[in-house]
Amino acid sequence: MEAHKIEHKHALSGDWTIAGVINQVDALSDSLKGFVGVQDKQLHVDCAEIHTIDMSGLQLLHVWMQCAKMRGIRTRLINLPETMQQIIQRLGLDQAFTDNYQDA
Amino acid sequence: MAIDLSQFYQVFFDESAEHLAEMERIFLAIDPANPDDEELNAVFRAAHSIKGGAGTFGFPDMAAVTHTLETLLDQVRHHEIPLTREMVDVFLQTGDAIGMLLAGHRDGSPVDQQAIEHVCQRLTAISASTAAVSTDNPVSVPVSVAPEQDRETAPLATYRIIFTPPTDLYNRMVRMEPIFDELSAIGDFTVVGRIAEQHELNDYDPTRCLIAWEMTLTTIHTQEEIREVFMFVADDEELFLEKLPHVFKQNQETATQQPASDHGNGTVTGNRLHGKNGAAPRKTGETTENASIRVGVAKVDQLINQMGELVITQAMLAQSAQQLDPVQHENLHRALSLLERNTRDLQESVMSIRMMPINFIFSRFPRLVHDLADKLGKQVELKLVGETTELDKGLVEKLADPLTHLVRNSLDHGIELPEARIAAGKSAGGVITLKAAQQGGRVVIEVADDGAGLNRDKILAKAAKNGLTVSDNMSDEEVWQLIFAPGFSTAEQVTDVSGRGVGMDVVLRNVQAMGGRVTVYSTQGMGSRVVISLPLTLAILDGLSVRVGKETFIVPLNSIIESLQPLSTDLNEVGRRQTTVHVRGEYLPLMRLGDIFSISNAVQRPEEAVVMLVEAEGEHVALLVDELLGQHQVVIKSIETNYRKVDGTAGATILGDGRVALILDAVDMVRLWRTGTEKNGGDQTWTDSPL
Amino acid sequence: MDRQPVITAESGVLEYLTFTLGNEEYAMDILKVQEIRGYDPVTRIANAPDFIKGIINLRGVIVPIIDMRVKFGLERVIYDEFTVVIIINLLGRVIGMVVDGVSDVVTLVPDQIRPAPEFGSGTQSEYITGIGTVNGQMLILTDIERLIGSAEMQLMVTADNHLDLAA
Repeated sequence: MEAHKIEHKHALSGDWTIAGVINQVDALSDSLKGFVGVQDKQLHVDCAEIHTIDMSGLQLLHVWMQCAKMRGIRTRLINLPETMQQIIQRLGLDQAFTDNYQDA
Repeated sequence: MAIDLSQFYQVFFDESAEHLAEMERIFLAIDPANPDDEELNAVFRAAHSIKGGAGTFGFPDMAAVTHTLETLLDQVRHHEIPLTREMVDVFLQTGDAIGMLLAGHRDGSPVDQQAIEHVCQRLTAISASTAAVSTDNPVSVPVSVAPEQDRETAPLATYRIIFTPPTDLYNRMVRMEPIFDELSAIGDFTVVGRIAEQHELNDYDPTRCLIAWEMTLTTIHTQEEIREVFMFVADDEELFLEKLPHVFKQNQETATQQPASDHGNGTVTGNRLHGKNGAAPRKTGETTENASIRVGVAKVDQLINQMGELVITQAMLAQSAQQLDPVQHENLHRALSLLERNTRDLQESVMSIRMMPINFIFSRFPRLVHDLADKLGKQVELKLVGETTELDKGLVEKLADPLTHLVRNSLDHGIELPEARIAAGKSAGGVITLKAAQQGGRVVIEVADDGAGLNRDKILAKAAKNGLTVSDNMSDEEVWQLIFAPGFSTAEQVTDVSGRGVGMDVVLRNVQAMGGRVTVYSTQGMGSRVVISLPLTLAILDGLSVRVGKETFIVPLNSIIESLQPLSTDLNEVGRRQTTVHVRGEYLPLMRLGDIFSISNAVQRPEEAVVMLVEAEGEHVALLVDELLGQHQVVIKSIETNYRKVDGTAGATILGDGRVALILDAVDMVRLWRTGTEKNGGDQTWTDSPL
Repeated sequence: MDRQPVITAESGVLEYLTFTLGNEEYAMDILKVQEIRGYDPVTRIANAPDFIKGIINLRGVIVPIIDMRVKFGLERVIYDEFTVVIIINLLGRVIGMVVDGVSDVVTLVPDQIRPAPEFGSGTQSEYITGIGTVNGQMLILTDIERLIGSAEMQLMVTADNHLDLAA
């Protein structure tokens, strides 16, 4: 592995609905691999390119963030599209994501 | 992003079929003058559910028909319009129409558009003729809660709602947002979704739902109306609803308008929302009408298979432990004994999952008899006995066609026209009885009628015409057996079941495929009875292992009456090598297993062996074996999968030491033994087959 | 003793498992071979033809065992530690076939195959699809489905089998 920057960034994109979540899973586990030897593990998750998302996508996102937490990586959601924010609220999932994101 | 919805249709088809069946059942039994409110609600909900699904999955024809029906039912259940006999008939026909459309989508079967049209017209006519005119709800909205003043309302109350969806929620293309929006529209609503912990991405299936929602709703609507909002989405079991003792008045805005970091404090925290596997806390005392969950059959089969393997493993353990000194290994033996009890309990529970009351198929017959009798101009009463008898789900489904054929037979050919019956000194109306009961490890189902009975001469004539060997000397039983010959079906009948093959030969084949038997009894002029006997459990059996020569067999425990070592005085030589044994007041021919299965070194003298008195469908049979070995629970393994049915047996099992043992079937052995005896001209000399 | 056969993924080339019965070498389509085992004691089935030895438990599934040496009427039919059973997937069924031994898996190109000679009458020859030659060794190429699946083997249940009419 190469030398790491302190701030890792991972961009999410595309279809995060039930039709697309299966494709998203593989890319996600790779994203947690580059943190060996990094002191202050932070991962910024850029949501700007997420095209569509539903509760299965939000669930996946949350699960991924939990996995990161287990590895000592703090995640932050940034650049959430307006629609995504609304869906989070309509589904009552804002609390689930509260610790983990902030608007940027 | 085109999603192929067709993979999710099956659930909708299944559920809608159930709803249609429920509706029909209620309509057939309902009293229009005094209808039961619960039943009216039930049919409304059924129609509502079908409509919702039809809309979601894109079957507008079904949705349209169901919509009109639903609207009318809604008015009836709120006592806005009275229910009449005529309406019930139309509702029944509507159910048929919807069923036809459903079958059209599911199987591609033809749809009689004219009939559908006709039904719709009649529905509309009723609609128009009633005073109240319902508001038209757009079909695309799967749920609706009508806010009319006539509606029964409750005083303002706050409810706590916990929805724990099944894991296939996503796969069913459910969207929760509209439901939450709906709830927001009928009161003060907050919702918190909680995602179950999942720490591994490796075997994480993102299509499985891990979210449960806890909500509070302050509203004037009733609990029932709240449940209705979830109707197509949640089974009763998945929705926990309780009224809170005090009313929450929220001054914050509803959840949809809150800024992200600030959530309302209308939510109730506290107890863990759900357990590890997502089960919602069960509320005691609340009656749910159909507390059940939907589980895929494949999952249950897997569970049963694994249960079977567990039984085998436990047997292997028990066998190994036998050689250990019980005193030295007392703890081990005690633990193994406990294990056996636990395994047995678990096995019973698992087997019971697949058990269904036979009423699932019996219930289709009142309608069938009612309609067909009308069509034929006959008066027939249908009696159902033992409809709560349970048997394995797989059997229940496979029984449907054969039973239908038998009932139709009784209607077509058994029961005579009223005039003929009266002329014969009988009552004008005939009776068809469907009976089911568990008997000695088997399930016995019977279709009986008090009609004309089988016509012996006609059957003989037809058989002769078909080229079968017949003779006038044949006993009645032998003559009745002829109707099972292929191609014997009387071609006059045109039935709905046809297209899948009609005829008693198909009935026989279907029943035998289930491991069952069919017997016909008939008395000319009085009636006939067809008796189907099926094994009760498909997979696990209590058996007694016995040794004959060097071979081990299993005898089903519930067919054994008694085992004993006979005294010489109880034995009698009759003819060459035919022995009778006197047991329990009967003189029974001794069936030597060694002979039936050509085992060379079986014990010959009965006084040195063991006689087992066994029941074979009402008949008593004496089997001779060398030695009784022990009692076991055995897992029935199929021989037919890779080989074929072995005469005299009903499957095989794997013993604790890994070897295969055949499971004996008393009735089949009797048949085998008698055939062998006849072949040898009454002589019981058997030759060993070369090994 | 479990020896797994080599399964090939190459297309267009047929791979055969060769086995011995008496003095002859036979070859069968490797894709139909599920596994190769030693001979385990069988549970006899009474009144079955003599070449059907009985049934065994193969990891929880009941599998019939047939002995081709008996079927072919060979003289030497012994069961010892060298006896081999080929477990075959056949038309949806799993059956075991006793042979004297298995040899290699061979690949045959069309050049190495000659058509089957006429053996005169007798259904026994229907299963032979050709004669192969490898290293001067003659192999009888066998359509194993024909060999085992024929009606005379009484393994498949036909429509007539279970209708037990009196007479």
